[in-house]
Amino acid sequence: MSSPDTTTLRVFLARVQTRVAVRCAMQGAAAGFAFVGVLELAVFRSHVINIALRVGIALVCVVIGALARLAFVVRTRQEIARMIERAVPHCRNVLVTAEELLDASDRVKPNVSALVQQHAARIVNLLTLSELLPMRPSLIAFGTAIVLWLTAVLLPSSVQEFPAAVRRSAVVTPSVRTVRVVITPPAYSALPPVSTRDPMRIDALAGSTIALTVSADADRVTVETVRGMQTLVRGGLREYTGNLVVDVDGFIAIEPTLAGDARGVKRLIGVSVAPDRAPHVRVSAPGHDMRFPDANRTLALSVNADDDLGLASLRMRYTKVSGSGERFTFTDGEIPLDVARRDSRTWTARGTLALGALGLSPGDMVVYRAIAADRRPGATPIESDSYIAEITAPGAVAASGFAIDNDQDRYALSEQMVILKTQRLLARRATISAEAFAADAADIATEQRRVRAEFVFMMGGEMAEEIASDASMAELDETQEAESEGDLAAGRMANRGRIALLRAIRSMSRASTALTTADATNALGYEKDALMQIERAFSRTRIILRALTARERLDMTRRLTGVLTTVTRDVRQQRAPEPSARVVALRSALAGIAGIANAATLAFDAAARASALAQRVLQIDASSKPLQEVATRLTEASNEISRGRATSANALLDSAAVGLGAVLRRDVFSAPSAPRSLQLHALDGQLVEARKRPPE
Amino acid sequence: MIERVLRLTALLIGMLAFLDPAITSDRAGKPEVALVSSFSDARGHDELMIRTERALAKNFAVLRAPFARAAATVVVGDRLPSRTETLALPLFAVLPDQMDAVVRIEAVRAPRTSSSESRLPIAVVVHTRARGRVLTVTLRQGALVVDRVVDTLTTTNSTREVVLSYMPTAVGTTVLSVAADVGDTLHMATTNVVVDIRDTRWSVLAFDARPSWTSTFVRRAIARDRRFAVSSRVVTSRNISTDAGNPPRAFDDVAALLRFDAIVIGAPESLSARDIQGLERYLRQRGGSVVLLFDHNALGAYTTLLGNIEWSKSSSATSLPVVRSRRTVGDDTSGLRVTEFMSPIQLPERSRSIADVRTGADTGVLRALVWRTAVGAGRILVSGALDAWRFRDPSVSGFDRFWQSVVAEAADASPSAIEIRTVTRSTTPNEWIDLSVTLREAALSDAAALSHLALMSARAFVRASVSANITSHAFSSRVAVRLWPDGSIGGFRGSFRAPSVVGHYYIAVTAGDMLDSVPIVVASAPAVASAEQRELLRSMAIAGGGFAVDVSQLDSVSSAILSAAVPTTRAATWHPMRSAWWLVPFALLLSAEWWLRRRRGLA
Repeated sequence: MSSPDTTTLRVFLARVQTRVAVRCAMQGAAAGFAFVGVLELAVFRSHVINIALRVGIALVCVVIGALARLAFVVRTRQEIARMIERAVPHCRNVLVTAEELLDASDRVKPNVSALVQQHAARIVNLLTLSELLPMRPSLIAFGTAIVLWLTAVLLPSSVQEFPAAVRRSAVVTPSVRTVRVVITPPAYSALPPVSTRDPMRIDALAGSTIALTVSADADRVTVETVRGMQTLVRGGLREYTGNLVVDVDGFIAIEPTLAGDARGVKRLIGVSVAPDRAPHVRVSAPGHDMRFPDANRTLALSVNADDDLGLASLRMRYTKVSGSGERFTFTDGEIPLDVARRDSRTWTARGTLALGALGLSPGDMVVYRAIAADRRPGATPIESDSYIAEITAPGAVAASGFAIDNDQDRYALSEQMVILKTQRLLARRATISAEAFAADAADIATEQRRVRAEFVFMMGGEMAEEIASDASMAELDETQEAESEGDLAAGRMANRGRIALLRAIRSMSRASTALTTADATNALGYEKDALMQIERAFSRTRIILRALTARERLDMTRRLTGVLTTVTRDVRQQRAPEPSARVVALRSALAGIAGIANAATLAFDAAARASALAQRVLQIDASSKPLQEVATRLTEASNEISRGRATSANALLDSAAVGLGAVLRRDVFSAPSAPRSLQLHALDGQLVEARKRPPE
Repeated sequence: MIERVLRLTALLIGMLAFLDPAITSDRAGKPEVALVSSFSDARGHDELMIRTERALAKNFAVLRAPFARAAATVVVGDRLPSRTETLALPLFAVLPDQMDAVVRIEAVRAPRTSSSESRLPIAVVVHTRARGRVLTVTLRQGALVVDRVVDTLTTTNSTREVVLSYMPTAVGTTVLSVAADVGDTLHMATTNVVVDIRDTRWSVLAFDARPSWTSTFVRRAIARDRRFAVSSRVVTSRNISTDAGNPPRAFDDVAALLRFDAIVIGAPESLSARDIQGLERYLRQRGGSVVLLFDHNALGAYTTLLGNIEWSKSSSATSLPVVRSRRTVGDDTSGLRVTEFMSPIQLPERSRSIADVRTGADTGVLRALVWRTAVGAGRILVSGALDAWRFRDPSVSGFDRFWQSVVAEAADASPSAIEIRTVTRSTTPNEWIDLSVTLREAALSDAAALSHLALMSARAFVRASVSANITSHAFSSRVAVRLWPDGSIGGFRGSFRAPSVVGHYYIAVTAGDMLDSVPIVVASAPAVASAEQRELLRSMAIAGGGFAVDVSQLDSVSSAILSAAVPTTRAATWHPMRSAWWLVPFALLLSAEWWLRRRRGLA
């Protein structure tokens, strides 16, 4: 049962409790404002952040501060009573006692309880809440904190060096916040995936899958690569995801876009793709061609193979070539190998090739080579150099290999090539054995005969009889040449081109003979003479006369020919060479950098322009390391411009320009140094003439 | 009576004041001294100038400009001033304390004009006094650093040449800035470089007297280079040729040859004597360049041009490298490879090797394969690399780059029709600029050649007309520059004051139907590279009747000038009645006259 005194006490204590809570909430809120004010000054000031977001952050901090403070506030009525007793000592514990008796009046006699409540009511009636719990300090703290926060918000930020358009655009321009990348190499490589966050460059194995997770303030995010564009799929509130498969060097340009088609600054990531190198395989023993008098022997074979990722197979195949003339028989087979795997990437193998078991006759040969394959699906197995084991026939010269080894030998043979090979052989003479020298010379002799055969064929084949056999290859048939004397005298062979060609063929024959006897020095002289004669034949008159059969009759209407008297001067237009697209693009990029850097202030679109320049640089040559560096610098400059750091942005632009200049230096000629004056040139000439003039 | 005298005197003063008589007389005043500032660096030296001016002002009237009638000239600085002929003698020099500038740009060498297709090599000579520090030389276009070279200084006192590159991105006048520092901005030297980027191409004639592999591939190499406009003629048979562009009908048509900066001749042994005469006229009257490309050793009419040269022909089993004899400014070191070559046993007088081959691994004898000699104002380049074309694969040799570079240098050496030279292209407003102009046609005419040999007859004369003016894209007005013959045929000189408004200007010179121009940049504080010339300045002061002192001995200059300067009186016109003090006697006279009249009771 409650008396008026009890009610008075209860109401008073409740009011005090509320006031304490309000006061604490204000203190907590003040602390929250103070905290967010410091945050504004220390962090937000150097970033372009939406004002709504900043206000939101402030409110959250204020609420957290208030709640945190309320967590420590006195809550129970008993604590309130004690607090009042501490604040007003002359209460002499009456309030505490009365509060205890509020819910336990039966602990004392009713009259005692009523007396205590009466005294307590009298005391609380004398107390003033504003004096007991003044709100003014809390209000001052709260107000001061708000002023501090507002000051921090309204202070000019470091971004202020940009025009107002930048600040406005910062609010409405979409942007990429973070980019998470997971690079998953192709499954066959057995390499683990690699994760990275906000990378400037990505190094990936060809065929790797790149999983992009982009956090962006945008309605749509598109990704541009050298292969095309794709739109990322929205995966969360601000998250967009997508997968790319990379197989060439290039870039990934991530562009955020708003619904109104407002585009943000592109985030550019350079992509360096390392191709899966083909396996390397070689027959280490016996790693050269061999000739044997008979087939009663067994060859011990040794093969080495390696790959950058891992080998899948290693085999040794052979081809038996038997027969002669135009009737050859080819038989393929495989030699079993004993493979030793040092690791998944490096294998060695051993095997034996029993020539006797193949039934080889004199003149037959076996061509053998190793074949290795890596794990890449669809990869072509790689063959090693092929070597031959030949059972020599009496008087025969070994044929050249069946497989052409080096790229440079794939080109058609020319006399110049024969000369080059002979020069190289002579240069290697001191480093190889006499046998190897003779063998190589014999190979060149074979090639020399091929070249000669081409010219013999061009001459209509009439030389074939003259130099049909190896024995007469060195010399022309003097009798037949003498028979041509009449034609020469009659001027019918005034065409010197034909004569020069005949002489060239003769020199080739002599060169071939000299090479067969390993006399490469003399052979070189003959080869050069042959080349000189060929040049004469084709440069002087350009007319090669040879006999034509009836079937080869020329259709004059289809030839660029005519009557000598109607010959006129051939006049062609002078055409300026097309500029190198690469140089033009590089210079354009350099001009673009100068345009950004030399502007009085960094324009609001400078970040986007720098990013676009980085993309353009990578489009020129994504494989070039220096250009990759330039693109990285430009991307960093774009980021710095976005953050408002003009000084570091300019330093990065400088670095990009210097790098671009270094690339251009290799492609563009240096201008000649300043010329001398006309008088100096004239003086130079007069001095020369004065020295030539005899003394008077 | 007294009143009357007083009144008349006052009246006389008033009348004289109204008439304002002028009196000319010889008067001895303070001698006038010219004070000239001439420092090698761009730092402000106003304090030293003011200090010197104060020291001199006690005894002299000091004017901060050179003028001919000065009693003496005092040069403050460490380098020779420009236009020394205008300095009045005696000459004194006040040398600043050796501040020991840690870094100083002493010279900058750069092409004044360049094709937009080339990159500009800019050679900077930097003097440093800072051992162990890092020297950074940067080239800027506006605010952007376009090239940078970093080097560590290993000696305390060193001078080094640093080559920077500039890649033009636009046509027109470009002002570049070169800065050298040793780690901080306090020790930094800067200078400006003005270059004129033009969209021009060298005109080259390629002429093959017969088809030749060497000249064919050289022609193709330069035709692929956008810096050249190649016209060609390949004589394939008698009276039959293949032409490209607009080659002249014959070499004796010198007027048609004048438009070519260089002529590349293939198979020169096949040229006729008439062709050689035409080429010689081209060399002497055009000052052009002729490149002779031999592909085998044969005599011909060309010996008229080269003289009797004893050739040595060699061959090698393996190809030998041919390297440039002198590395040009820049980094182009491409070379050829040859197996067959011919070279003169002894180079003709004053000839210069361009590319050499080293024969004999042991002896290491260098033989000139490509060399140059002068004929008149022109030059002939001779190539004895007979089969270099066989090694033209870019992976084997730099055949294309070599010939593109050599022909470019040859074409660039050919003088333009109007040669305009100024001491500097970057100046301050109102600064005097000396200009020299040479008209090629007149300077290389037959009459000019005869005049050099003192054989000019009375009837042989050269007529040349020329005019020059300063203009600007920003301002439509033109200011004429008066040019005077400088004594040589075709040579003119002139001086003018730089415009007072900062900006880019052109000096345009017209001669007949020919027009050429050079840019000048007027800036408020142009940075100019200059070496220290203390000793030269000392010598010049002594030769000029004075001496040079350090700043600490500044007071001695004043007394020296007083003793050295001849006291002169000069006619001065003065107006005695223009003094305000005449008002005092005028008022006193009238007052006295009034007072006397009052004493006598008169009004």
